[in-house]
Amino acid sequence: MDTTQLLKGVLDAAVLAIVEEEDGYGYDVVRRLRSRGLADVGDASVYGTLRRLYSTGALTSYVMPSEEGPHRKYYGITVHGRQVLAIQRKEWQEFAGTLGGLLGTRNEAA
Amino acid sequence: MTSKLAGSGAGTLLDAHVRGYAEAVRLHLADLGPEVTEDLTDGLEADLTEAIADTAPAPAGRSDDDAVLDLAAHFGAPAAYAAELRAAAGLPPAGPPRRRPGMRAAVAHRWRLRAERWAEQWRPLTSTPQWAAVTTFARDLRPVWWVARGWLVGSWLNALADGQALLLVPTTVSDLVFPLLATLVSVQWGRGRWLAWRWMPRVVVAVSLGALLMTPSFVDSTHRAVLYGTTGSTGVADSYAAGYDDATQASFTHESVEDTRDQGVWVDGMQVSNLFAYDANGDPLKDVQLFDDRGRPVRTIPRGWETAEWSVPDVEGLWLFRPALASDGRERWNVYPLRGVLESQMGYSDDGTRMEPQVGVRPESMPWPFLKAPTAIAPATPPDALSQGDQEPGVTETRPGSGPSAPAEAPASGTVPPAGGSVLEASPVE
Repeated sequence: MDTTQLLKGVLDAAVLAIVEEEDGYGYDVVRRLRSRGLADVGDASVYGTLRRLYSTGALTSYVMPSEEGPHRKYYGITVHGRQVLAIQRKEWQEFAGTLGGLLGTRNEAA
Repeated sequence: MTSKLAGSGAGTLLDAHVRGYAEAVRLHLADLGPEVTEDLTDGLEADLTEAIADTAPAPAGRSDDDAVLDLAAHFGAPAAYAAELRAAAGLPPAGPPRRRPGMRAAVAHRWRLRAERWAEQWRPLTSTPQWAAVTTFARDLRPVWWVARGWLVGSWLNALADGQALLLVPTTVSDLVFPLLATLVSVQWGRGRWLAWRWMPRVVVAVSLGALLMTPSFVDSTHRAVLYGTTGSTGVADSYAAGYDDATQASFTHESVEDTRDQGVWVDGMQVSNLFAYDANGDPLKDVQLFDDRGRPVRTIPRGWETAEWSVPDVEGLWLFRPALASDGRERWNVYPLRGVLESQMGYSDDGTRMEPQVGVRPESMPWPFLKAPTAIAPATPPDALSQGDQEPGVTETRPGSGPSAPAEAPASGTVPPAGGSVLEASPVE
């Protein structure tokens, strides 16, 4: 199964969760997502998602001077973002449970 | 990782490639406007550089050129990268490349709305059967327009080709080539043929508009060319003027002279201005009427030269000769010697059509070449006749006679009866 297709629906939640753990800049978020097992996540998808979450008010951003490179734009989660994440987390758990039950039943039947 | 990359010495080259890739991505986002694009790709170079350093750490140290520089291999084509960025950000996908979507559509839409409103306004008129008849008629006339359009454009090509004036009427056979070809194309277009490419209908519209716009100047210049001619040809007006000139010239020569050599009286190649008659005794005669053997008055002043100025021997100034007046008031130019008026004393008549002596100026007698002729004529008649001729020479002598001068005298006395008074008396000068 193409995990990139699955990822699309839950990328918002994944990014919010990563940023909730710790503020991060664009590629930093990509790297952490990948290190957490989402190897197929696309750089551009993450950047775009960050930008969209920021424009909807789920994320805030600030610029951090970097000692060895250009300034970095860090994203942090907002109160609104936490609420959104909570809802998505809940929805995902329900969905995963439903789907797990569904797929598990089929597997047993086979 | 980044420090390792920077230490590898490939930094500058990598940076350049990263910048190029980022710029390419931005180009694919350009339709979103600079603000959104900047917002979307802010820090893209840094992210790309870091991602490169992460994904290709090992070969970067050795052969960084090959491994590092093909950014598209790592991130995919810039277009795909931009599309992914756009989709993830919840922005609409790019429209047709390199074109601002909506702009043309919006204009077209607004135009269509306006056209509909316009059509709606005229509905009361356009829904009538008469209007339908008019439009049907106009539609049936379309072939005429096709021909006219082709002819116009062809004539225009003619003007372009030979630098002549715009002419709807070909003046040479070769001038027919362009109009005929263009007419063929135009008619085929009208019939919906020869429109191979999708943009052709637009060309047809443009050509039609151009032809319409050219029509007034074409008609004007053709009109003028027909009247006044183009370079190398003569127009109707010129021909007319030439004909008019010919006609007036003809009527003028009929009345007067072109070459005075054919007119007047000449003696030994020199024109005669005045004549002086002396009788057989050598005495001067005044107011002698002269006719040739055909009864024509002998005029030293030809017709049409009545106002010519003459210089007279031994007299200052320029003179205009004046005719004698017959008893019926007609001018007689064959009565000699002619009297003259100084040029400075001539003026135009009240109606401005003729020259005449100014008021109070009387024509003067011209000086006689001799007071008395240097020779006397020996009488050919018997001595008794000679004594008779002493008193009345010339006219009175020949009148009753049957000599050769009689026929010439008869019409003269018939048409020009001797005037009363002193004007036409043949008498010796005192």
